[in-house]
Amino acid sequence: MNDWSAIYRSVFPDLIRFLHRKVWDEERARDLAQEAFVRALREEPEKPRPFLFAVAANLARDEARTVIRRRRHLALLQGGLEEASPADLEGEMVRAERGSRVREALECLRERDREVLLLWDGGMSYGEIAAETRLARGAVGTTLARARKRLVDAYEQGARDRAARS
Amino acid sequence: MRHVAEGELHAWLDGSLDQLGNERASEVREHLRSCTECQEELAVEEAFRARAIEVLALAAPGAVATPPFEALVERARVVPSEGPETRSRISRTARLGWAATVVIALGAGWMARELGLRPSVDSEGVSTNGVTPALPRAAEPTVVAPTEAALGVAAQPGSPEREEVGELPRRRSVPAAPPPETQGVPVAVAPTDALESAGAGAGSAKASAVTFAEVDPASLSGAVRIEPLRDAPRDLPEVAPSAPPRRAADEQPTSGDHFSRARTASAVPRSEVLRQDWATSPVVSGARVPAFGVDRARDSAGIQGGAAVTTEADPEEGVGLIVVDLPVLRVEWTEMSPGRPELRVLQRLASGDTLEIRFVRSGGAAADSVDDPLAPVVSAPLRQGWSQVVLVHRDGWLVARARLARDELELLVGRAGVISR
Repeated sequence: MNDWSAIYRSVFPDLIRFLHRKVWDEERARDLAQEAFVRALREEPEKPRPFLFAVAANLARDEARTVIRRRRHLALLQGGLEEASPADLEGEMVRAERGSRVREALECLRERDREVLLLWDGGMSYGEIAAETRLARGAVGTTLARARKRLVDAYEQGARDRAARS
Repeated sequence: MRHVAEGELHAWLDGSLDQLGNERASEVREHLRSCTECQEELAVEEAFRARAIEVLALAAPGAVATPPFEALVERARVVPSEGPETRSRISRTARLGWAATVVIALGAGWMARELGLRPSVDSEGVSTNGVTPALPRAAEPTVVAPTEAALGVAAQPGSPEREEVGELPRRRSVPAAPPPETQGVPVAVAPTDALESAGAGAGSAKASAVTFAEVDPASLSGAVRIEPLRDAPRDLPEVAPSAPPRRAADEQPTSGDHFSRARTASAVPRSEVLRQDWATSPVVSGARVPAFGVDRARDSAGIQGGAAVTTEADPEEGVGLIVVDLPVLRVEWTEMSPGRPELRVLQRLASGDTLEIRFVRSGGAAADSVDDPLAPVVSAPLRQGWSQVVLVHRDGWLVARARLARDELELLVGRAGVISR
């Protein structure tokens, strides 16, 4: 029998971090993390952590799909899509700027590499990542190595491009 | 000993070297102690790893308050179909849709009235203002007993006879004739490929299967009772015609698939699941007309060149997808995309229409081979009047289709997988 209260305390922050890098909205990440937990409480899976991350990943994918649809709809209504306005506070602007650079860098990764990297960053073990992504356990390290290098390269390249433009 | 690979270095840095197996883990540890080349490589990889962690930390969310656990427990107790957000959004959309319809209808009526578009008819019944007067409403279609001649001709694929099968009324009774003796008159039964081409089964048929049955002539010339048309071809969703089958029909899904685990199936008796008459033709009263259903021989042989490969699944596999209280017509593995078997459950709605629920896994080698494993399923043509709902379900998605309003379908699918533990 799982101690769900303890699982909640330990996994919730990891899940938020994982989801935030997928939906890029803190409030939404929190909502989705809660939804994942609600589903886990209903299902009571044997392995809560992998289950939670799997459900969270699916919710995030659905979210992304909805966002794309909404954007298309908005674009049709407005004749074009404008970027969301920057946050009012300077600190939030800086954070948003950094976040968007990381986001762009993450989007340069192959989907599986990104997934493995984010799962690892969310606290999943190699074994759990292998089970979730169906990679061989021995391939997780290789995938992570590739993902980390591409992330760093893409991030640095983005920084150089921005510097050149400004 | 060979040098340590890049992935192994990262496993070492992540403290997960044991994942390589004890023997290899020992070798790596030993090698790293003595090999300067690998030590240098390790330093490089360590720098990449540290930098990647830094970069990811830049996008970390701000402080997010953790809601009380008790609130989640309370939410988990609520029936899924009464879920908050999506439901309210959809019902609002539906409300707006209805409101728009009413406004448009009223507006059109008002305009027609203002423009004087009422039909003006002279003494000879000829319209004088170009507007055709409405004809008296056509009488309701009546069921006419088929003649022997008509029944003796087998319906061909695409022929009007076959089309009409799908348009028969749900239930129409005519006083039954006394049960007479059976005499072996051939009866045309719609070809089984009508079902297959409509997406029910395993691809295109090569030949029309025409079944002859013994029918009482008296029942043909006299009274005919048409039973509810259950799961006629029009009820079945179309499938993507371009998906060539690759997996042999007798191949089973991988053992790691979610639904291959043994599950409680108390709610679904096997006999109910394996009904042979899940798709039936109209039944002539007093006659022995065999139902036509999925051609299981062809299913098991694996049709080549069809729209999809289906393989009958163990009914227990579908328990997580089954909507309780609805009869199960079929549980099967089907491939909308080559090499990607998906579990599909067909159930019968109270209206007699078919409810289709597919489960699409989000992970696994097959899912990873495509960018969006859902795309082939959700983009398959949807028949007019049908709705499609996609819900996150366990480690994948449920994709449900039926001839229902979208919010109704969502409510219904919310009951899927609700089984007694």
